Amino acid sequence: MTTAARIAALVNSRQRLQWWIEIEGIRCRYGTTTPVWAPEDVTPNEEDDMSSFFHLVSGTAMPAIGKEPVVDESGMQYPDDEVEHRASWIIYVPVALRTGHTLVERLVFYAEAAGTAKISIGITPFNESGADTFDPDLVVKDVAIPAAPDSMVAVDVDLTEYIDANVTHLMIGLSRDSSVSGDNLAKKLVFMNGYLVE
Amino acid sequence: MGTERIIHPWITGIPKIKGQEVDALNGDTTPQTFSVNVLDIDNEITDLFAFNVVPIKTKVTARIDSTDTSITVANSAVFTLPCDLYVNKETVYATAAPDGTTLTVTRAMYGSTAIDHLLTDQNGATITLEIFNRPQFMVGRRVTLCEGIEGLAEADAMKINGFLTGTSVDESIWQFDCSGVLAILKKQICTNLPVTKLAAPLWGGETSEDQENLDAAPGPGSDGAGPVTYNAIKIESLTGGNAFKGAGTVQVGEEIIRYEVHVNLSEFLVIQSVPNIDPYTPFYLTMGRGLFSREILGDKWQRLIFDGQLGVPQFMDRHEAGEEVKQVVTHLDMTGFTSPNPIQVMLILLTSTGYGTNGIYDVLPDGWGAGIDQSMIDVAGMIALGNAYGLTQIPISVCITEPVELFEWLQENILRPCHLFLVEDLDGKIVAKTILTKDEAEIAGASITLDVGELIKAPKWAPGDMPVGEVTIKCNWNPGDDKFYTEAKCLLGDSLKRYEGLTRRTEIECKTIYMPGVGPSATVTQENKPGVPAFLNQFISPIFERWAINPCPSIEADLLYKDRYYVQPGNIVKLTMAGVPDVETGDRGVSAQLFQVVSERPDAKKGTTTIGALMIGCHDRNYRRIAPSAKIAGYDADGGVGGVPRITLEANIFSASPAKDSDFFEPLDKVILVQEDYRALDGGATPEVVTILGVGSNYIDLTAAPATAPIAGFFVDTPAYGDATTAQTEDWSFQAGSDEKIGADPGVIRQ
Repeated sequence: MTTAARIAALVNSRQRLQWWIEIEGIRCRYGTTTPVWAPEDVTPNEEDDMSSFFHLVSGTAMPAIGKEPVVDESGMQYPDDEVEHRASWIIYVPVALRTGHTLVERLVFYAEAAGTAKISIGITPFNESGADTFDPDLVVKDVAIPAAPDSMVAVDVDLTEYIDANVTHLMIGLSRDSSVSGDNLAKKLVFMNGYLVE
Repeated sequence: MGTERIIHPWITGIPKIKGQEVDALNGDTTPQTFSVNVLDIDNEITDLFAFNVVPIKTKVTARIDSTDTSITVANSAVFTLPCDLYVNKETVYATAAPDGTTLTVTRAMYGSTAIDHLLTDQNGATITLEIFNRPQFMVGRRVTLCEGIEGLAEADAMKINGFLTGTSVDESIWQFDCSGVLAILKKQICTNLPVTKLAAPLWGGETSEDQENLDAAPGPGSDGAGPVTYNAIKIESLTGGNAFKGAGTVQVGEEIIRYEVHVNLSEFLVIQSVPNIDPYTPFYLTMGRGLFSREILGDKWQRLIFDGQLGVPQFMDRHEAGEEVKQVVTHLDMTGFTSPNPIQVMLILLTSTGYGTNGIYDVLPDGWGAGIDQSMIDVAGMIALGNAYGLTQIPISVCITEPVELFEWLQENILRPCHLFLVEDLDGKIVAKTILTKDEAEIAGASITLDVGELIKAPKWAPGDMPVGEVTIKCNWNPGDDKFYTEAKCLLGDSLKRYEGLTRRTEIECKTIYMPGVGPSATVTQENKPGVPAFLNQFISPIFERWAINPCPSIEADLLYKDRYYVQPGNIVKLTMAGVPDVETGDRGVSAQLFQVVSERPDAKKGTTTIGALMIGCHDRNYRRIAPSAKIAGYDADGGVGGVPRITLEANIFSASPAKDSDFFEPLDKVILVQEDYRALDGGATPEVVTILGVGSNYIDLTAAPATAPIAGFFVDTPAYGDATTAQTEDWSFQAGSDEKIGADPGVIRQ
């Protein structure tokens, strides 16, 4: 395929991008196997919103959600017994995806040890004025951690029902309360990544 | 590199890519960089590169050729087969060990290259070669970052080729920092040049004409200094570098000498091979000596030749035993391209490996070229570019006397003189681009028209640096004494007239351009313009087009990410937008204004890309209000000399005291009358042009009354280029006064 043809394909398709890296002489290739939406349909007057459309969380800034205290870069130790540990971020929704499209957020976690963790996922939609369009709604999903340590698990969260033509962005919150029944992951659970897959 | 391999999903974020930035006038490009974070979920990376783990290894006991499928080692039983093994930068897959000292392998795994692995170094010394179960280095490996879209075949993904520059690891997150392929141009070339000493004096010292009297010259050794060689250079054993080439060029003292044959195992470099004449026999040399004649210092500079041509009297030094003799690299060594053009020289230096396996331009010995895989270079595109813009018509000579950084050498000697710059395209290849004039840009066509559909917001606009007022080209370089014997200064009269000492000066020191006919004190006038070297005209035209008279304005614009494929550095784009000031007319709004992109900063996470672009073709517009401009203090329809209209001016609004703004106008100048925002006095888009009849202190008289009477607070400004007086048109001078002008028509395509 020529570059021109590639460009044509790019422009004529709705962009779902993926990246991968190849190193000379090394067997592994690493990348985003699932394409990620690009904000092709975001209009220029939404420039501010675009700044965080892609909200993949950098691996170096990932919050740990665990039972055992974790010391972050600033030296702060969390969580302690009194504090529920949380992570949150915002998804900005392109105009073209606000109606008639399925919106699925994939959450990726890393588990340091074997066990089961339960994560509460809170979803709050906002309209253009910044106000809540709904009362904060809460979806609770159990994230099952595979038995093998040093492993990854992905959980897909369907956000479609929270989207309408007026919803500009969603706030996603994660929390882990170690007292929840069935949570027996004794070690650290790390939220790695969140990205739109549908 | 290995599209059949599985992609592991553990990349932890969108890659951070810092795009390229071009300094076009200086032929400079800042390579792009990128970094990727990977979670080493299965410890694959950690296992490979954990240097605290002792690797399993064995010695390679026989040279490995690039086609070999078995490797002879000291002990093949140390590995658990099958497995990947690493030797130098090549990865092989070992499948069996048929005996205790042999490994059966599949070569060139995972995008590595099957090369010869030798047991000797470049000087023939024995080295130890080992093969490992894990790679012994990571930095320097080639890396490709691919960007695909849904439904697109992997092979069609956009690519950034580069090299690993650093790694770090933090809690199982590996960060790979990489630099784009242009970074490889920092590589040293012309390395391992052989060096030794003269073993016997080399005849010389007489004037060139005296060669004819050689028969009367003293015989060998008669001067008491031992045997003197005549037609060959007697040398000692090597003191450094590879062996001397079979036929090549050496520097002895300040003399560059071409020799025909290297014989007798380093004893003689035969300058001119003649049967039955030994090196000690006086002999009339007709070639090889004095390739760069000192006569360039005098009025015989036309003898500045570099081809060892027959029959031309040449100057020769006498060189004593013990003087250094070192190999130099010349275009005469570029087999098949001994009269190369700049594009060919660039390709030869980029691709030469020493093995002749990297395309038709791989003609130099090992270590002389950069050996960049030709798949990473847009060879055809560079040749097409050279043909399209007349670069293949520029004859150049090459003499490199010591190891140099490839990019630095290319920048000084190829890119800047030819107005080229190198960028990486979206196939990960090195591509040559050129500074385009307005006509050339129109012909080349814009890759995209930017309007509200693509722009995130109105572009930022900047006036740019001061225009170029003086261009100096240092050429006719003598590699023997490392001096330039011509310094051609071109004064861009209009820039100087308008901005005087504020103009910029640009200078190139070009060691490849030889301009017979231009000596250190030559003057070229309009009348003998045909005598001006074509190169000089060719070099000046684009500078005049883009960086003379007025600053070259630039924009910075944020676009949607999807458009980055159209706005790569070097591309031509058109801008149509109502909110952008039209610097040509002073109005608001531009339509299809041409720009050349010089930088691009993609930000996939933000969903945008930011470009920097230079405006083309409006350098001669007076968008930057500086004298000659003036603020109107009053108007009298018949107050001038003889009852003509007079506009009185504020004294020093746009010029510095003691000069007055009126000082910058001259009778018969055409000027425009505008409001603060460059609108016409009647509010229209087109300012009225009036002609100055006379100029006095703080006033100008007009030849005719303007249609709309100006009032205090409005402005007199210089008009668009087409309406300017002859005094405002192009005006070059070449080491000459104002009546000695040269120059090509600015609109002429370079040929």
